[in-house]
Amino acid sequence: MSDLDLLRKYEPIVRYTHGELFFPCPVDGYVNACELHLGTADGEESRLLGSRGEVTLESLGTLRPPSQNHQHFLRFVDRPLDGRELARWLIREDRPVFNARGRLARVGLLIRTMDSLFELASLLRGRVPGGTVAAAERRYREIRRTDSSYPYYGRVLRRSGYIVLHYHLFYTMNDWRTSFHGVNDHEADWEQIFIYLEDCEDEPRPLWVAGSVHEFSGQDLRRRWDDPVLLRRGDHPIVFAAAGSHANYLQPGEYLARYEVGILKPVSRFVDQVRRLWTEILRQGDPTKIGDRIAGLLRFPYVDYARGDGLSVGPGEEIEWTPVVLSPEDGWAENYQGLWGLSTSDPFEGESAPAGPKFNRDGTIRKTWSDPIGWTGLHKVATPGESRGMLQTRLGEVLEELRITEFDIAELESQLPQLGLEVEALQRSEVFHSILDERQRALTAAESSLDALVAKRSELVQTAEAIQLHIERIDDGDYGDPTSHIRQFHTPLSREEIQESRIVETWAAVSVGLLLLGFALILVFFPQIWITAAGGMVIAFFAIDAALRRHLTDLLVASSVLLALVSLGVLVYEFFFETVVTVVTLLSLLVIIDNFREIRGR
Amino acid sequence: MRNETSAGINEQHPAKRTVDRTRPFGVTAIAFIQLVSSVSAIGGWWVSGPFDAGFRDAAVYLNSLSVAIAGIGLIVVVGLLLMVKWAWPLALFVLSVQLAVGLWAYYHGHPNFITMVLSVVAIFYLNSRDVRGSFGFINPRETVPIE
Repeated sequence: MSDLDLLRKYEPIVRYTHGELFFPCPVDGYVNACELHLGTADGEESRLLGSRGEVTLESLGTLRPPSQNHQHFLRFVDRPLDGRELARWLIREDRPVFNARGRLARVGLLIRTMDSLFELASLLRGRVPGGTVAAAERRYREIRRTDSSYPYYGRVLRRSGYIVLHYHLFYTMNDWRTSFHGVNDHEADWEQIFIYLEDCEDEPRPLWVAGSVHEFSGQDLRRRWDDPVLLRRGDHPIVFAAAGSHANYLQPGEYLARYEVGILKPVSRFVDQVRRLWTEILRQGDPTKIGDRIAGLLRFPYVDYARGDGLSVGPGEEIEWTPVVLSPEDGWAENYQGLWGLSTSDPFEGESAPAGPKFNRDGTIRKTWSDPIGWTGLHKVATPGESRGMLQTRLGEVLEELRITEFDIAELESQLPQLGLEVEALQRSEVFHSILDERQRALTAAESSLDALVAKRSELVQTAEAIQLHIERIDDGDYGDPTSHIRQFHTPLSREEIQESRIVETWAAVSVGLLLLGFALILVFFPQIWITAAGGMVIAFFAIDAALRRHLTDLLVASSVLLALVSLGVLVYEFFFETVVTVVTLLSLLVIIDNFREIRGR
Repeated sequence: MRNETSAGINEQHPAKRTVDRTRPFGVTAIAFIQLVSSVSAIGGWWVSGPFDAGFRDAAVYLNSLSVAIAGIGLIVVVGLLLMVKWAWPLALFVLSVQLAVGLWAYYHGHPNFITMVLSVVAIFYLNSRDVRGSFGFINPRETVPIE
């Protein structure tokens, strides 16, 4: 079967969310509508290399990588729409309207406060102005007028017993922030879907599906073909593209994504260490809740809307794919290391356009391109066809090791009584003390060896039984739980989480602003007691927030632990000498008890 | 007509958890200390003539608050001894108020360090995973190993 036939046979169905503005687009039309620039890495300077209409895929493919401090980039939008144009664009009749509950209603007051600060930073960053999305959408529609195809760019790799079908989808714009309250906007967006087949001699067999999703990596990204969660129509898996971000989810719904700001990563690592100390060593609190809360504090919440209630593209759907098979001759994919859209030199990296399907922004090769097997942690997973043979080989090795172990055990079992008798004889003699010590040591060593061998034999027997059972199960077509490899499930929000009450949503929208306003009013009207008044207001806000979100118990626990920590600080401060003496005494007692136990145990 | 292989619902159905209602020794100890504390607070208040002082200053308000908390403390004692679920948050509430009052008194130069020590130890003990589990306050997701 040719690469094209394979790609077509299993091509995915991608369902979009109602309100989506940008769909998979042909790259030649896009490139032709762009300017080509050469800019400095800091984004301060750039030089026009090609005007609109001049840039082609061929010319991109022949570009040599620039010097270290420079980068090629395309520019799709030269001028964002101004206020009047934007207003006209917004009220036009054919613009799909997107409605969603606010993401802020889904998280607590503290996280919302942190989030507001981050939002302010985003506004100050202003890397991609709001009118850019509207301008990009206009340009995108112009491209569509001349080429209405919905292409995917596919490649096929045969490695480690797998055939990897690698589908690339290109979008002219990621408008997650502007259109869907998300993290970022950037020109150009490359997304990927993978289908892993077993490389059989006869008909290849589909095994796994994976899509590019925020936050997740490795084996958590893939779903087994027989996983009931994975929707399929025949041999075509159904993927749900998130609105604006175009992340590919395998279940429809709304996903709470958390975005970690790069500069907070060291803080995040430190806090994680404290969390481990608190939950694992001190065994305090509910570890899952604490983990979620800390993750929430340092990673801001955004909703990825992958509802699947909009346009559907794929075999048998309203729109069919136009497949394009990538080959090593496609220089634009193989060689062009520049960015596919505006280079904003954003320190957070979220608002810069991506590089092509093969490269990262820094010019290194993407792992998805160079090692799609390792990207989803499949190197350690044998294909079903290989599994039986591998298990048989391993079973043979284990049985051989078991045979040798049993031989060694039998030998030691025959030697030990002789050695024991010898020691006994030497003990009854008063002459041979030096020989007795040596024989005694040999007896102890032989006994230890026998114990170790017996334990090893048990392990080998159990391993052999497990392998045998696994072979029988595979023969019966039972490959076990399809989700056993997943450490962290990415499941959509439940209906209850989405349908927060109108009051909660209103409160979420106004609370942080009200809190700041309250601080200002306190400073104006109650300057003498501002600490007490502000403290009281914060407590009241947290209590209202917790009550509305039905998290009063969590607030109570957090407050009591905070009070206990403050009191502990006071106590240590007041009784520092006594605390040190007590701790040293307790440590001394522990050491004495431990040593005493050792003596008694000997 | 769509012919899809699954409804696309991935609801996790964790096995129903049974809560071990055996009362740990520490819970009994906290109940006993709370009983002594509540009885002595209410007794002292009653003996000193509860309404003689009037409501003139913050100390009187604080004293009244302490008595009210002592009253709730008696309910907590019963709840802790019976190992009922509501006793756990109520105990934390009482201990938190006691600590807040203790910190306030410390700030104003009237510290009660013994109450503070006992409350701190009791809060950390009640928040420990095993005790939370005994009262059914552990998220079932905890069964997933944390990496």
